[in-house]
Amino acid sequence: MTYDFNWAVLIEYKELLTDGFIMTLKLSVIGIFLAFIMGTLISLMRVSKNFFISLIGVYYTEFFRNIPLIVQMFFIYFTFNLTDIFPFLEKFASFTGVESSNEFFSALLALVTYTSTYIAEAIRGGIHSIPKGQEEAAKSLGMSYIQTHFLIIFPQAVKIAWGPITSQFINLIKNSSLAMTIGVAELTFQTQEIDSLTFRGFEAATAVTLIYLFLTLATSSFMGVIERFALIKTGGMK
Amino acid sequence: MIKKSITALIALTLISSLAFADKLADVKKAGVLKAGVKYDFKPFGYVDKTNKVVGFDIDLLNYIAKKLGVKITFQQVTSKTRIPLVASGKIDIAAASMTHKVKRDETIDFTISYFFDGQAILARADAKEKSYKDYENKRVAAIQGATSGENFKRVQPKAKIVYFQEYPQAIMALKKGKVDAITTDLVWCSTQAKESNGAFKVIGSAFTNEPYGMGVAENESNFKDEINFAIQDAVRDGSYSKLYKKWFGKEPEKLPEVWPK
Repeated sequence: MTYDFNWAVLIEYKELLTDGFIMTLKLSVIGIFLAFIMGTLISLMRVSKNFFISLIGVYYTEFFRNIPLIVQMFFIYFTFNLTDIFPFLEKFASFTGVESSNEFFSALLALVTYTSTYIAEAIRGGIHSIPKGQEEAAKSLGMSYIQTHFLIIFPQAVKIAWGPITSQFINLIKNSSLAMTIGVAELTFQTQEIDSLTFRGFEAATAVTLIYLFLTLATSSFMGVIERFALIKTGGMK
Repeated sequence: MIKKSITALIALTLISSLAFADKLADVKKAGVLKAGVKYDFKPFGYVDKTNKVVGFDIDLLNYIAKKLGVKITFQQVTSKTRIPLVASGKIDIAAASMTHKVKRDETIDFTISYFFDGQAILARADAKEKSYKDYENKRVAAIQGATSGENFKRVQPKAKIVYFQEYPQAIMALKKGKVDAITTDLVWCSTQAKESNGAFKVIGSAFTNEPYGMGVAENESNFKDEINFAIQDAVRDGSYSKLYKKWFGKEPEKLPEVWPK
């Protein structure tokens, strides 16, 4: 079956593509930022000596890790009206220029809870792989529990877990495409829109593949730069 | 010597594949008509309590398959996937409440129009709006890939269209107040309103013209002819009106056109 390629449709519909790209960017950037913070918190809770705090960490991880992301999105979107529960979200939405705030924040919340569990596990792996000597040395220097963890243990753990954390950031970017099922007009949605308007599915699929590739490669290169910078500072391996 | 026989073999396979390039012959030879229908669009195609797919489209397709003398298999399609599936040949025919649009004729062919609907609005029972004009700055749900989104934007450019992939999500959004209305064809809206026990109602009347056609592959005249003749046979022998009364509860106001034999 011959197929005449018509790449001009991508130029013709470039507003759809740019709108979708910006929406995906918003979801990804805010999502990565919040997921990292949340993941840090949960990992520290899990390794806490306090039984109840660590239990909360375990329950959070098991719960949000084992439920499919699309189910989480549907549940949050259809059960709660996030902008009614948290009015500050409306202001945040107009600040970031997001119109359909309910859909956007439901998708964002699901992405954050889901990805933060994987980041938490990665950091926890990093924490466990640090030799106990570090903690003992810090204690013998008179550091408090908080100082030990935040100045000595945690930075090293994050550096060790940098690779898996990068993977989870990239996963978040790709998973953001699921937001289209609750009506968020992000990149994958817009390419489907171009497909249904022009029936040029192949061109649309090529465009969306390249744009996601650009986003994920940019993320991994950026993380690689940070990694090299951090290692140079501490005089670690090449 | 071997080269000659290989060339002959290739030529023979090419010729024989050309001979079977006729879709009608293919379908009759396979003995099965692969049909795409909607699974979530009552009463045209939906899944009933016994997990069987039923509906007006399904019954009409069963009649057509009998006329062609073949069996029939059903596959789920959505507004977004029905045209690509026909164009790629994965299904032979799509009867999925599809409006025959000139733009869609570029990719696939359509049979004669077998149903005449129009677009309307479904809202919650406490809605105060009277027509599409009242939906300025309101949120209206539509399914991605269907004509409803663009049509609504054309008559009320100030409305915000929220796109869902399938009807169950749109209904859930309407029930929970995430959107103020769903816009799609009138028959579906009336069916939903009737079965909702007073939760939903139809706003206004149909504001577009939506003639449904069955989608078939591009440039398969013999196949399209046979389907057209089968649809017209259904009108001639009264089966069409019987099916219409079964699914819509009244006599058809407009019949598909019937050509003299």
